Parts: sequence; C-alpha cells; structure tokens
Amino acid sequence: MSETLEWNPLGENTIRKCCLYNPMGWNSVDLSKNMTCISKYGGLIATVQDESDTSRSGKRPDVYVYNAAGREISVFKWNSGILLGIAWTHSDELLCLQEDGQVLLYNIFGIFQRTFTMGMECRENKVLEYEVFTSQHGTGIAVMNGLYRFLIVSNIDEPKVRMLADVPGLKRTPPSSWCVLSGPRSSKVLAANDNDIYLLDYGGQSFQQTPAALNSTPLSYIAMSVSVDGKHIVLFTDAGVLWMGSSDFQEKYCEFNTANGSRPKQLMWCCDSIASNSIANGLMPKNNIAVVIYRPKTILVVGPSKDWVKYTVEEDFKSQLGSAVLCPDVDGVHIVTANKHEFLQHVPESVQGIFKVGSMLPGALLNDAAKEYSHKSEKADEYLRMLIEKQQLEKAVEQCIHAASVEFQPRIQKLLLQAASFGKSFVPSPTLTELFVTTCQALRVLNAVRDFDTGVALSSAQLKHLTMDCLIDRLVLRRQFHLAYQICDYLKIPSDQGSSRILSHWACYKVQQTEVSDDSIANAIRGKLKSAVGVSYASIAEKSVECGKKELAIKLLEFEPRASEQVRLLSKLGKHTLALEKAVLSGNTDLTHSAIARLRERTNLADFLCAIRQHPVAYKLHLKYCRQQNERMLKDLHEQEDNFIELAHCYIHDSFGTFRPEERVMLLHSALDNFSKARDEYCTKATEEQLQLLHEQTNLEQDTESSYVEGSLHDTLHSLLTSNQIKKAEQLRKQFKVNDKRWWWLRITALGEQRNFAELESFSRSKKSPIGYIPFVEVCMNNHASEEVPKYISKVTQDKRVSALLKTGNVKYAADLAIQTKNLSDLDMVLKKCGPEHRAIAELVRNAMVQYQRR
Amino acid sequence: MAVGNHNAVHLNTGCVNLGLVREDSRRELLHLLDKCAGSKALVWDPELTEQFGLIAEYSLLKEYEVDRMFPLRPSRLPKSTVQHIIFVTRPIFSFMDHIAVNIKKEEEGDGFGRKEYHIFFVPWKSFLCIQKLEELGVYGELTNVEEYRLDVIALDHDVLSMENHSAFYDLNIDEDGTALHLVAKSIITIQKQFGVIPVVYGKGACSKQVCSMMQKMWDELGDHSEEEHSQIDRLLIFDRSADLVTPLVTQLTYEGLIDEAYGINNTAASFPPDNFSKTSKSDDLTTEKKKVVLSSKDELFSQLRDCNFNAVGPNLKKQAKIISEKYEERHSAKTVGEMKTFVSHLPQMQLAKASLAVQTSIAELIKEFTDADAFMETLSTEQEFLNGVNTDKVHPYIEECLFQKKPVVQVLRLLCLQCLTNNGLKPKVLEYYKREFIQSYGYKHLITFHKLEKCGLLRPSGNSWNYNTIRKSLRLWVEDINEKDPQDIAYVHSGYAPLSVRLVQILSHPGWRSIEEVLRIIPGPTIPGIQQVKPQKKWQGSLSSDSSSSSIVTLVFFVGGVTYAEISALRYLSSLKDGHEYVVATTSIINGNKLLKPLIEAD
Repeated sequence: MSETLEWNPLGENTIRKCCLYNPMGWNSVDLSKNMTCISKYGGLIATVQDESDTSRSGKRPDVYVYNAAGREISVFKWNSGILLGIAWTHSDELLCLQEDGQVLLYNIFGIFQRTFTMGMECRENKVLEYEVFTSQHGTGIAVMNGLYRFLIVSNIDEPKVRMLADVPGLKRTPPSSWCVLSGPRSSKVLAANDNDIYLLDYGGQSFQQTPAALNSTPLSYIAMSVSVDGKHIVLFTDAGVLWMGSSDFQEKYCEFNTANGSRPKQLMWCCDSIASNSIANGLMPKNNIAVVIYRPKTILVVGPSKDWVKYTVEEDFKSQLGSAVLCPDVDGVHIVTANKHEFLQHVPESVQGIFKVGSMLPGALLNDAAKEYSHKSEKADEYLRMLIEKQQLEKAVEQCIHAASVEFQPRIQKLLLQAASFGKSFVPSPTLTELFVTTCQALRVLNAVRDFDTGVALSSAQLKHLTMDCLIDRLVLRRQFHLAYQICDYLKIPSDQGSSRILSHWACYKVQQTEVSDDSIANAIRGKLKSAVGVSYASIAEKSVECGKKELAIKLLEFEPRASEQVRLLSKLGKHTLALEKAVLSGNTDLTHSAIARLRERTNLADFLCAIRQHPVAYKLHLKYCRQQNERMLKDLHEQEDNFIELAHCYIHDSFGTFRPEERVMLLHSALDNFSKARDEYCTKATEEQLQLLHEQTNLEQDTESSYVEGSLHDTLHSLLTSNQIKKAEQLRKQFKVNDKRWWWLRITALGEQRNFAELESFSRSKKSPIGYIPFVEVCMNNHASEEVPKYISKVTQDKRVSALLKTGNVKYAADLAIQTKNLSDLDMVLKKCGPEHRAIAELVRNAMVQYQRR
Repeated sequence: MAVGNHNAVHLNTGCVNLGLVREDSRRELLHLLDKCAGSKALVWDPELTEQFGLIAEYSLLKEYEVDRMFPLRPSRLPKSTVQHIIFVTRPIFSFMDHIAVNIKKEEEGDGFGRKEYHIFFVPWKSFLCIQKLEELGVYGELTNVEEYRLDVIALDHDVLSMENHSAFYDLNIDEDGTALHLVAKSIITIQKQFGVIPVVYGKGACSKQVCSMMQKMWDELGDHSEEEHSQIDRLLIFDRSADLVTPLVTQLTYEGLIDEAYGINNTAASFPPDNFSKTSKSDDLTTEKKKVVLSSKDELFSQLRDCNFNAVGPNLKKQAKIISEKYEERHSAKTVGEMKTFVSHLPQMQLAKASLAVQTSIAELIKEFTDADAFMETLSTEQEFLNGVNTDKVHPYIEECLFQKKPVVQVLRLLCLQCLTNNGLKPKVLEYYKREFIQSYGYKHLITFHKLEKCGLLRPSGNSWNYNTIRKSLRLWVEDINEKDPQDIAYVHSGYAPLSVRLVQILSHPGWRSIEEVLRIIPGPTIPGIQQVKPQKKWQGSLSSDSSSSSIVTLVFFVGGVTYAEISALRYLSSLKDGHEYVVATTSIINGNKLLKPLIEAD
C-alpha cells in the first residue's frame, strides 16, 4: 500500500519520510559548499556560499531565500563583514552572524531590519562557533569566541549579552563539543572538555555533569545535541558511541555503538515535542523520539531502544562534504537536498492505527468499510456492524478525521475524510460534525499554503501550535495578501482581525511602490479599503512617510477617521496649518490646543498670527489661553485685529490690578482711547466719568484717612454723607448728575445709619419726596426706631399705606385700614402676613374678603 | 448623613438604570487606583471631593489603600508615610502651579522614603496642563499621568450631570467649545451603556455642533453593532441659549427654592444649624452648617421635591398625621403577634420620623425666605414681566433696587428678564439702567454688561426673538394654577411654564412640525430628528398601545445647565403616564444666580 511506502519500523514505533516537494523550484544549488538554514514552522530555506571556504577572491556572496519548495523569494548581495553563519528566528527573520560578533537581521525579502553585537571580546577575538536556539522568550543565540568563552543572548529582540562561566580545565584547545541547553528560566551551555561535561551558567558557575550509567569510557565527546524541547540529550564519543538520555543526565535511554568514530556532519533529535508537551510532564513516552545522524550519503536514525534505520542520500554533486541539509522542527526533521524537500517524522498514532498491516483498530475497520462500500461490496456492512456492536464507530470516525488531518497528501486526506464521512452518517454527533468541519477547513488552508508557489511546509500539528492567526500573519509577512485575505474570508474571521488587518498590511506594502503615482496609489488604497472597517490610515501614512512619500501620506491622512492620529502625523510631517485645520474640524479642543502650540513653535510670530486668524475656533481658543497665561500676546492679538473694545477691557482689568493712582489713570486713558477708536459713545462717556470720579476720589483720600478709590460713586457719596461732608457730596451730586431719587435714598439711608432722626424729619419736610415715604418708614425700622414711624405713615399715599403698616409689623392697624378701604389686594397682603398669633385678625380679614368678593 | 455613606440603590429605580453609569465610573476609578500599588494619599481639587463621594465612598477607597486625603493647596503637603501621592484635579492652570509647589516641597523635605507622584485628570487630560507642568519642571517627576473619564455622574435615578459648571460661560463668552466635545463624549458613553439612541432632536446652535461631533466620534470608534436594543428612544439636545428666560425666573418648587436660597451641590445642601438642634443630640456646640443629602433615597423628600412650595406645608402635615397614626397603632396592638409586627416596623418609622423632622426644618427655613418683602416684590415683578406687562419702561422696583444697592445678582436677574420679555430694551432705557448700575456698583461692570450682551441676556431691541408671540403660541403663561394638584408644568413657577420643557412636551405631543413658525424665532437651528439607526420595534409598538411599560424614553440633554424646576416639570410630564418618560442630562444644574455669577466682574 502506497500509504506505508516510506514507513520504517523503529522499535515499537514507526518512522516515515514524507516527500514534501520534488523536484525543487530552484535550478541548481550546490548545498554542499553553502551555509544553509531551514526555518521551523514553514521550512523557509536560506542559503549562502561559505566565504571561509572560497579562496576569498573578494567576490562577495549572494544570500538566497527560498520558500520550502525551493522557489526564490529574494536574493541579496552580502556586503557586510565576513559571514560566519545564518539562521532563521522564530518570527521568520534571517539572522546573519559575522565573524566579529555583529548580528544582522533581515526580513525574508533581504531588507535589513536591525543589528546588535555580541560584545567587544568577540570583535577582538573572532567568533569561532555559534548556535541559534529557541527559548521561552523567543530566539536566542550563543557564540564561542577565540578565547573559547561563551556569550549568550537569550532573546534577540532584547539583545542583552551575558558571558557564561569558563570551561574548567581548558588548555589552549577548544572544547571538544558544546551545545545550548535552553531551560524554562534561563539558557545555559553544555560544553565538553574531552570527557568532562560542564553546564555553564551566567552566574559564573559551572557544574560538572556525569551521564548516568555510562558503560563505555570515552576519551572525548566529539558531538552533542539537545532536542528542540530541551528534554533529551545525545552525546557522541570519539569511539562512535551514542549516549542518549534526559538532558539532566539523570536518566539513560540507551547506549548505541555506531561503529564510526568520525565526527558526524549533523547530529540532532527527531521528536514530536508538540505531542510530548501535551502529555503531563514526567510521564513522557520515549517512543516518539529518535536521534538522527547525518554523514555524507547516509542518514542514520536511532531509536531509544537501540533500533535503527539507515537512509541513503542521493548526493548529486559528488561531493565528499555531503549536500543534504537537515534541520529539526518541532515535530520532525526537514531534509533538504538539491532536488527534494522531505520531512522525517514519527508516524502519528492515528495513521499507524489505520494503515498498519493487519490493524484491527476502529479507524482501520472504518477505512476498510468505506473502501468496500465504494466497491459496492456487502463487506462494508459487515465491518460497520462490527464497529456499531462494539460501540466504536465514534472512535473510528475520530481516528479517520485525525489521520486525515496529519497526512500531507491530499489524495490520502480525501480517502480518510471519505471514510470518516461515511462512518459519521451512522453516528449523529454534533461534536464529530464540528470536528469534521474544522478539520476540513484547516486542511483546505494547509493545502493552499503548502502549494508550490506559496511553499509553506507546515504540518497540521505545527499549525495547531502556531495558531491560524499567526499563519495569516506570516502570509502577510510574505506579502501573500490575496491568499491571506481569502483565508480570512473563508474562515469568516472578524474583519478587524482578519480582512481589514490584511488590507492595511497590503496598503502599507502598496505605498512602497515607486513606479506608480501618488494619486493612483491613494485611490487604489481608498478603493479597496473603503468598505473595510477599523482600518488605520494613519499607520499606512506612517509607512508612506518611512518610504519618503510625504505627499502620499498627506493624501492618505484625509481618509483617517481618528482626528488625533491625523493631527499627530500631519504635525510630524511639518504640515502644521493643515494639522490645525483638521484639529479644528474634529471639535476636540485639546487637540486644537496642541496643534496651535506646535504651530507656534515652528513658525515665526507673523506667520503664526496669520495662520491662526484663518480659523476662528482656534483663534478664540488661543485668546482664552493668552488671557490666562500670556497677557502681552493677548493685547497683540487684539491690536492686530483692531479689536478696540476687547483691548479697552484688557486695560480696565489692568487698571483694577494696580494700586498706584497715576498708573490707574494712565491705563484708563488707554481704555478711553480704545473706546473712542471703537466709536462706542456710551463706554467713552462712562470712562471719562470714571476718570473724573477717580480724580475726586484720589483728592478725597489725600484730605481724609478713609479709602474711596475702590468704591463706586454711590459708595463715595454714602461715605461722604455718613461722615457729614454734605457739601462735598452735593458738589459730586451736581458734577455727576446724580438722579434725584438716588440722592434721596442716599440721604435718608445715611441719616438713618447715623440715627439722626431729627435731621431725617427735617429732610422729609424739605421737599416732596420723589421716592415716596415708605423708604422713611423702612429706614426707621431698619435702624430700630419704630417710635419715629408714625411721623411718616401719614405721608404715605393711601394705596401704599397698608403695606407700610405691614412693614412696621403692625398687622392690626394694617388689617383695620385694609378693611376700611375695601382693597382686595391689600387684604390679601395682610392675610399673608398673618402668623399663628393673628388668628383673630386673619378671621376678620377673611370675612371682609368674602364680603367684598361677593360684590 | 454624610456623603460618604451615600448608598446608590435609588439610582436603579428609574426607567433607565442609571446605577450602571455609576458602576462604570466606580470600576474605572478603582482600575486607576490599582495602577499605583501601595499606600496612597489623594490630593483633591476641592470641587471634586464631593463629586467623588457620589461614586465611591471613603471606606471603598480605604480598601484600595487610600490612607490620607488632602485638599490641593499651594503649600507643603502634611507629612505622611504613603508611597504614592495622587493629585486628582480638573485641568486648571492654577492647580498645576499648586501641584508643582507640592511636589517640589515634598522632594526637598526630609523624605521618609521616596514617593511616587501621579495625576488623575478629571474628566480629561489636557495638553496645555501637561505643557504647563513641563514648564514648571515637574512633569518628569510624575509616574502616571492618567485621564479619569468621569463624563457624567448620576445625581439621581433620572438625572445625569457632567458637573461642568463653567460650560455656559466657556461656550458663550470665551467661545471655547471644549464643553461641547465633552457633551458629545458623554452621549457616546451613555449610548455605549444603553444602546445607540435611534433618533436625535435638537434646538440651538450647540445642539447642531454636538450632533456632528457625535457622528465623528462614532466614525472614529469604527465598528459598532446596530442590533443592540436601545433603552433610550430619543435624544433631545437643548442649548441653554435657546431659552434664557427660564433660569432667570425664581423657581417655586421645593427643591428649586432650596437651591435658590441655600444652593444644592452634588445633591447636598448646607443649612444654618439652629433649626436642626432638636434632631441631633450630641453636637450642641457646633456652629458648623448642617449638611443634608437631598435625593430620592429619602422617600419623603422624593415626594416633596417636585411640589410647588405652597403644597409642601399640607403635605408635611399629612405625613406627620400618618406617622403619628402609625405610632398610635401600638395601643390597638393587643396580641403578641400584633405587637411584634409593630416593633418590626419601628426602625422604618423612626427613620420616617427623622426625615420628617429634617424636611420640616428645611421647609420652615424656606418659608422665612419666601416671606421676605424682597422675595415677594421680586416675584411680582417677575410675573409682570412674564405676562408682558410693564416691560418697555424703566421698572420702578429695579430702579429702587439699584438705588438701594441690593445684591448685584438679584438686580441683574430682573434686568435680564425684563430685557428678554421685552425682546430687547429700548436704547434709552438700557443706557439709563447701565448708567445707574455703574453709579451703584462701579465702573468695572462695563465689562459685565459686555458679557451679558455677548451671551444674549441683555441687548438693545431688534431681533427675531419675540417673547410675546412665543408666550401666546406656546401658552407659557397659564392662569389659575392649582399648586396643590397641578394640571400643567406651569405650576413650577406658579404660572410660567418653562419654555424649554414646553418644547419637550410639544415634541412628544403632537410633534415639532406643528410649531415650525415658533421654532424659527427661538434662537439657533432646529434639528428636526436625525435617524441614527433604524427605528426599533418598541418605537412602533408603543404608538399603537400606550401601556406604561413600553413608553418612549427621551433623554433631554441641556447644554449650559438645567434648573431644578425644569427637572420637576419633566418629572411631572413623566408622571402623566401618557406613553412618554424623560431622563435628564446636563452640563450642570443651575439657577439664575449660578448662571449670572460667572458673568459678573468680581470685586
């Protein structure tokens, strides 16, 4: 059966080599002379000619980046220092390490991203060896320099270089082998000095490690390797013996003699770390692990129970160096040769259960049943009954679905899904239906991305681990916008995480195009993004700025709905006036203030004033700011606008702020000037009068001790009258044409306060009062002189007399009078004043009211 | 009854659960406090302390390790061993100076351990204030500069307030639209909580601006689901400038009068303590003012607040009778079981009795206030004006007030009311008033007049506004008001029906289309109903069946302030159960004094 063609038993387990791509998309690549690396989760291939190998002709090498199918993504000339090695990071960036310890990072399109150095010591002593590893924090790198010292960066995104402890007892020769052991908290290096192994940490300490139950007595460990998940280690001795065990050296899995003492070209683990991670720690089955040794022409796979498989590698370039490149992934090993990309992995349990010869597991039975059914054989029924009787149909469907999901070939996927679908029709289970649908969706996506052109070599387990969102991100990184968009659409991912996001990325890429005009780019972007919600035009514009396309950025910002972003970027672009305009439009005053401030900082005063007067809203806000913070500027602004009234008000404010009379006068004259410029007759006159008043008040202050300046004319007259300066008061009365009524009020209030009731009485007789005589009554009452009241009551006109009496608190008289005059409103007034003590009066009034109302 | 113990259950009782707004603000506050792990001292912008009392009680803050509270002053902070000092302030320049002084003094002091400084700006983080802090050289000292977006505070089960007291001044005098931006933000917050309001109406220049800002903000937010069922059916944005008459008129409802006489701030008012001595036993010696929380949490107050004051006395009498009757029940209680039920009601009755005592004391104080001659004369002058009588000449009472130098606000309220009811004053009359005013109160009021004119409270005659036309066609004056059993919203001013609320009433029945002519002479544009989302089933259903459960809920947002009398009038409309209910939102709660005071040049 073709399904098991590449299967090889390995102890209790089975291992298989799946062919992913054959032939490769490249023309001819001699991997044997190159440094090559393959990425995890997708199998990107980068390769570059080894400079140390060529006779340093001065011709710099080219770095090629291919997808997993060998199709070229980019190529760029290496122009920096001498390249020691390359590796892919966890975010699909190409890490290039130079001999001097400089690390440069490129994206897959060969565009430089960033750089950091492994330190001075590396620069001076050259890096000899390196290892790039995956840690909890991301991608890390460890190097060994010419002094045989190890330096480590556990996360290249935050490159903090730490030096590890020296290898004890090392004499002028490098460690015989080393590798990185990446733990949950920190990453350390294991190094062998001949037959001693040390764990070096960055606390300056080293710990000797002894492999448990070691039978052979090696002189030296010449190679070692830790599994991707950091749980297993393999040591390779000069005698060709493998010691396989746990990475803490406490447990030995086996010792195996390969009978070849030469250093292997590559030594690594092939293990399913995703599956083992999902199993509880400590109870890890060792059947899903194996060691892979590559020497030119052969790949030897050794299981933990000493079983082994040997594969031959077609070395098409007759090179003794070996032209295959192996790279461990999280659930297997990539093997790339000039014309093939293969994937070595343990056959997943579900697949084994179905295709293993003679398997009687439910999945196998269902598969057989489905096959018989398609051949119209009654055996189908037989198998099916068997499953139903044992109540294993559900399990069988599940196995088939799972097996389909882990197969690489669409043909086999289809076969298994058909079997599952066949079985499913006999077990109505919503969970199975759900599983079936999601698996079909995932497979459809996987097959699409595995396509030769896209060339993402991703296994189903890897996809689960990586997540769909991450895959979409990677497609976007590879500029596979259309595919990513279609996937989002197909999976109905919400637009803000899906299609809108991809369109934004597409737009960010689009703005980099140089051969198209700004207008058509802007239109193309707007056209595609119009219906997309939640797109940040600002970030697209920012990208456009990065590419030096300011004009395009400004065009794009027109579409940005978030005013704050719009304004921020426009300001950054130096478009302060436009920024101000947009800020004003938004109605966000805080934003407007910030735009004004930036405009003010970047332009000269004249231009600033000119710009701000174009926007009344901004102008008003700036006025307010100046009123609080910058009065000089405020006057300038009013001056410029011929805003005489406001200017006058500024001077009036100032005049009240000073205590020096001459300054006050001066400021009021300025106010006067402005009022007359504004042709405001009333204010001009009022200001002139104020100046006169101020003059009089100042004189008064010189003559007497009291203070007059802060008061109004009314206050001044009142002070004069209460201090008996009647003449002066009379003079001011004439000068300021004081209203007669006011004069009378002033006089009687002052006399009342002075308790000069005799004078009050004579004043009342001096002339007919223009304010009536109730005020006299009030003044007496206010100054507790009720005995004076009767003198005036008689003078009060008939219609006001009742209310005057009420003011004196004489409810009885008031009631009598009101009843006598038969005035309804007066009666009502009396009634309102009747308290609980006036019950009898109130009764009288009420009766009277009823009587008069009847009439 | 301290604000700290403020329980918020009463917020949940309205047709829209405003308790949720409080919950939200609370959560955000605690989230901000969580950013500063360790012991904290809060340094308060004095105006914010009481506001925050409505959101989180002190015991809750204590749980979040708030150990000390200080008012923000330009001097050294009292010594404390807290790890964090958090300034809670509105974005006001002078407070930035205070903060700088605080931090500098604290840093040069002996310093028990280093302290971290933070600012929470309420309700928005201001660029200019941050710039100011930078200039003052303390910005770098701050660990967190946060924005506490306290957009709206639920003052009661049907009232939301932004507590932005300067909104009217900022909008009309400085022409600073910040308040509008904040209003739009508040409406967005409300809609996030209760769903997108299907239809928007508006009157006045501000309403149009708010409306367009709201639209922009929705666009900025991007995706928003439209299926969500909105609990509020209509939004009416009302610009205070469209009705300046109402706030000038003396409020005659119980709550309105308390506000006129003593001022209500953050649902509490302070009274002279003498009248209350009977109720509080221990603190005879204190001369401190008696602070009373006035909200629907107090059952009695919630019955009285919206009554015309003339109906309060009888109401209190009735309550007293009910309570004493209940007490009498103890005599009729014969069996042990009856005794038991009586005793179980005791705490409730004692509470009711205490509340009755407090409200009676307040009512006595208000009675004193309304019995004053000045009050009566002012009231009758107002009513003359509102009736369109004696509005065109110099009014003798205003003149008398001027010559007697009565309080500035009192005079200006009448002056502005006369002007508005006369559609502007004749230049001669206006000039006479101005001249006499300046002679009484001083020259600086030249600026006061300028401001009053700028915001439309005072002006020479001649523009489209015509009070008498509006009065007649909208029936703003109603004769024969029954104050005890009101038949019209006009009871809140004993005759005058607030224009703003009349417009709300007409919007509900029969709709604004019937008064298009009148709307044209009221200042500012009219928004005749913009569809934000498709009308929902609830809307259509309720037109045919007017069961109260499915009544149409209208949110009336007053930009520039609302009076207690207006709120009472809206509550009266809700109480009619004619298929419409109203929720009030406002920049702040105002009265004539609060409206005019910022416009008057200070001494």
